[in-house]
Amino acid sequence: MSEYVLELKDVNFKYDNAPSIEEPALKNISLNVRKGEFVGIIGSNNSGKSTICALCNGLIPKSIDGEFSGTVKVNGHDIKDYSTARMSQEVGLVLPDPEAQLSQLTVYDELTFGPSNLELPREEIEARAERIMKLIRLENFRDRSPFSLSGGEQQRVAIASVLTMNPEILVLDEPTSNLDPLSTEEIFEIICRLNREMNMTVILVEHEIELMAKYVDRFVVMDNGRIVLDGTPREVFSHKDVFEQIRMFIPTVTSLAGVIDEEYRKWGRHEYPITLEDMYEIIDSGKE
Amino acid sequence: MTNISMYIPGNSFFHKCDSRVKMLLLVIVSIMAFLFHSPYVCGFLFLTGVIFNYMALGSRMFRHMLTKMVIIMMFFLIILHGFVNPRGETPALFFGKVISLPFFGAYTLEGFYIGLVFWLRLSSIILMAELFVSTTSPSDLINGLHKLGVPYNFCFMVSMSLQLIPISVREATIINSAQRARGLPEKSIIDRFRGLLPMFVPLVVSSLERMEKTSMALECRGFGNTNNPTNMSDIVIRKRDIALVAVSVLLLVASIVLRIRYGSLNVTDYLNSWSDCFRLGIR
Amino acid sequence: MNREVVAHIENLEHIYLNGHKALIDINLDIYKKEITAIIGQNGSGKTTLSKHFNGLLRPTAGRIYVNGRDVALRRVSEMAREVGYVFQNPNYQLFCPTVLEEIQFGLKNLRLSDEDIKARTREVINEFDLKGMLKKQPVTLSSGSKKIVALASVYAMDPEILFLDEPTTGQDQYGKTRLGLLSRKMKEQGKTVIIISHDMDFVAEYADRVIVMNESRIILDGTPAAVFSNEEVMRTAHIMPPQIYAIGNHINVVSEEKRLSVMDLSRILAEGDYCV
Repeated sequence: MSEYVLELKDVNFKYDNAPSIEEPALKNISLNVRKGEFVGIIGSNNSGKSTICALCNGLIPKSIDGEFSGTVKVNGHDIKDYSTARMSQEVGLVLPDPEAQLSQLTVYDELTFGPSNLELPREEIEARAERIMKLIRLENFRDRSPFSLSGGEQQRVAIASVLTMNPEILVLDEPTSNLDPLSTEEIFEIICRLNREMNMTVILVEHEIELMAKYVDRFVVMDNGRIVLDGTPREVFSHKDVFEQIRMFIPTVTSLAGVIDEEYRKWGRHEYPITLEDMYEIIDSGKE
Repeated sequence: MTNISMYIPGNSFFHKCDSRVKMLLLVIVSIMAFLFHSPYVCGFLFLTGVIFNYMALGSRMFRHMLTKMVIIMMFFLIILHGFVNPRGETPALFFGKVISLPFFGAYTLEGFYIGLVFWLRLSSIILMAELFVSTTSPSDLINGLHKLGVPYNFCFMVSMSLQLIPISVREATIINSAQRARGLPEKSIIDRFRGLLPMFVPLVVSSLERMEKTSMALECRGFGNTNNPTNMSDIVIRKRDIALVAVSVLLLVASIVLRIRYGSLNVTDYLNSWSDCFRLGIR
Repeated sequence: MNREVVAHIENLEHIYLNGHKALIDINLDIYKKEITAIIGQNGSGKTTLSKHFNGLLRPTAGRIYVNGRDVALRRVSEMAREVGYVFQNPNYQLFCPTVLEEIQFGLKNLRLSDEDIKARTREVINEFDLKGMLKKQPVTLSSGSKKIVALASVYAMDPEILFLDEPTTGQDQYGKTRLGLLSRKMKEQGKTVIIISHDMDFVAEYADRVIVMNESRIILDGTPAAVFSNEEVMRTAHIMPPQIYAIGNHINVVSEEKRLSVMDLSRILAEGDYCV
């Protein structure tokens, strides 16, 4: 029994029909994720982040055409051996556009849609839907058309609708890029709760590095199809030079500390802050 | 949020009827409307349509798109047929005078009669359709189709299309604004015609992109795994459904019998005056 | 400081058909050669306000003047000469077979002469560095490039005011920097750039002036420093100031006139030049 819930080994992938991407999307990627980890994947556009997401539940290589090599294992078994329907019971995938993920006539139908495709018994499906509605606080939207909801509400419904398949791993590909800041915080809060309270393994691809620094256990930094950094937030942000090279920014608080340390030599601690809260603590207690 | 598929929620008798029964009612009314060419029969169906709709929707029925269509059509059809219908022979007298238009000729009794019946037939069907769509929620409509044996995939396509119509309308509006903001001229008809391409391409591209995303999302929810997903809906036939079916079928049978016995009640060939239009026409 | 007014709004109100009051009592002057940002939650009225500038929406009360003329008396296609609007989703605007034609689309709508169109197109290509992309199909470009092409094609019409609706959505940091630098360039060319954005880091870095909207009204109007240091307004409008200002507020060092930079703040922190 593998200790990892997700294992990518020597994965290469090149899209067949992508006019704006000429190179392979993934070059020799290897990545292992443990149960209950909260992994944040960051990187420039076209660095391969979305491609990794589609790998996790088998959309690549089953539904998306391209040249694929390497192995992807979920809970110890190779995704190639299982249908997407089967995989969706282990890995839930949430995509960037909230509205495009919805297809049913009511929110309740949206939640029961996935399990009904699995031909589960009706009572089981109803129980799951009730549970998830409570968890994601969607009870008031039960009979509403998903298309009458705001972007943030729609994304919550999208998340809920993959959760009813009972996956243990949740992969989210830029779930908040089309949302306003308030909805973004809401979504992050839900994801964090799922990770902390339900021990779900979460893989989150996002641009909101400062917000992610608060929640993730581990950052995987990608550039041009490769993983360039992989470690805890502190470890990863200490490589400012790498970030500069790939044209990304580390959180402001970390930069600040860096400048104070290097330019003014006034940073008394070993570690740099990675969140605002860290910084406040340091300031309030005096740096020296 | 625009009203998808013209459904108006409510609690009337008709709202509570099974969608399949309502579909049957629509079919029966359509058949009956064409069995007879009489303003009495078609008028009866028309009146029934008005009464049922009022029972179901109250005054909201007058704001419904289909009601408005019926009203507009009345003027259009009755006036048009009066002047244009080729079976027109006998000029109609309006207080002793004939009304005649250049090139079209006089307003005829036959034209009026045919136009009237045509309008009544069409309106009866439209009103019954209005009753159907406004009292049946899209979910129930799709479930009804599925229960009747329509394949799951087809039902799904219908329901997705219902979603896509308001989305496409919304997108078309935004795209229109976007292109006008780039100076797309809007004065003459030629301009507006030329303006279709800048509207068309983004709409198609956007629809294709959306379809790609939606199909990925559907796969993530196991779509396509089976042709028989678990049925989550509660469609039960109740007393009111049976009553409605019974009455409609009875009327249909009666109509067929009457039609065979008395003919279609068409008096077009016997019109000499206004009052002839309203003769019973029994053979 | 002599600021030339390019747009003037008086007592503007907009009530939608369903009764919703999207704009209440808006009084505002927009100045030339400035980058102005409009921020606020979804539903605060930002987009409704912006659509009044080019006539896509008409006031239900009050007036809006652009370059001294009342917008209500002019058609949208006419206003396109003076007010350029780049929509949030570039897919809604791009439709031509090549990038070159896309840039020329607006110019053709303006009925310019062929030489003028050629000359202007050359300028835009240089300004936006599009030489390598001219023959490409806009729909096949990456999202960042699409945004640039959409912006270039609107800019080509040489409007005085340019509206950018959420320009940084879905962009990575490189894309954002590129857009920010382009905005500054356009400002130096004498344009007025108005940005509607949720991205506070972007606003803090590039905007000269920030207008905060909440529940259909303008509740604050000032420099980024003045706005982001006003913690009460930030809370009311549900806006999170960028980290740099959050820290600055925490140690009370934000001055309303000067934009706070990492260098400034690090010096202040290093020298202990503050009190909590």
